[in-house]
Amino acid sequence: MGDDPINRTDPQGTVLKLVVGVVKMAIKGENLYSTVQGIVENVQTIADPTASTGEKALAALSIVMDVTSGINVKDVRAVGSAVKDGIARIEGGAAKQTLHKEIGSYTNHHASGKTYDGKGDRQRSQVSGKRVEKETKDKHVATEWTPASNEREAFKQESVRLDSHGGPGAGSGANHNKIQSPGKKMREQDGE
Amino acid sequence: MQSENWPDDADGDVLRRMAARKFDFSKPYTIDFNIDFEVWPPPEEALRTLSKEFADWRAYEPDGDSPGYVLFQVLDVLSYERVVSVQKQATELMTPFGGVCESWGVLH
Repeated sequence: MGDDPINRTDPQGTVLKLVVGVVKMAIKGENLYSTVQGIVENVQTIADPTASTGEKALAALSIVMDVTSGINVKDVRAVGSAVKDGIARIEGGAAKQTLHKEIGSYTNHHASGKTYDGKGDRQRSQVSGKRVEKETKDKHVATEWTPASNEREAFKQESVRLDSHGGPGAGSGANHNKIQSPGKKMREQDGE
Repeated sequence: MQSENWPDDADGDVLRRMAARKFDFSKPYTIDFNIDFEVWPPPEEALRTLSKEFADWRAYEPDGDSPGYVLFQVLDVLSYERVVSVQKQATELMTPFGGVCESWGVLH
């Protein structure tokens, strides 16, 4: 089979769909490296004259799942033949998709009692927690995260959090924030 | 355990601050727990072991200078006993693989 849907050497456009799917994942920030690596391995399996029909079918299914969901069938199989393990992997994938769509603000609590307030999704809050922990040696203990309806509301939430913790204090106050939140001005603009 | 009896430690301090801001400890929440590993990525065996106790997990790749981590979630009311026991259980499970669970989070 060729790779050109326009010239009818790939009339189903399979390869084109794969490329579009990979680009979509890149834009969404998925684990592109491992996904592309998996796709390459699966294409090799399909092309391998020594591979069984079952192996080729599984490889083809893996490609489809990689592109559409980011879940790799080989990964699921590697986790074990137990059904529970397979379900766990798929549920993990479902959680991943939920977490990436979040808009909100957060307060990270550190062992000293200081906080760090920020805007972003829950993954961002954990990255901030580890960064502040590394910079200040103040261990990240817990996170409070609140969803917001849009980016502006998330900035305003961040500002309210920061005000409640005494404002930015360059590490000397009750929090680890160093700069004021853009949400402060937004709140003023909105008469809040 | 009543709030006035929360131990004087990092988790107890966080809960006290949340209680001071009228956090509702009677409602169930999705509680996130994070596992950090000495070496990234964690071995498959670690994830297989984690799956047996905590099915709802995902791995986050390193982001810049921040190391990768595994996050799993538990739906429950937030209590000192719960956050401490889950962190302890996850740490015991992951210690053979160089993993430790020492932070948590809640969406509210």
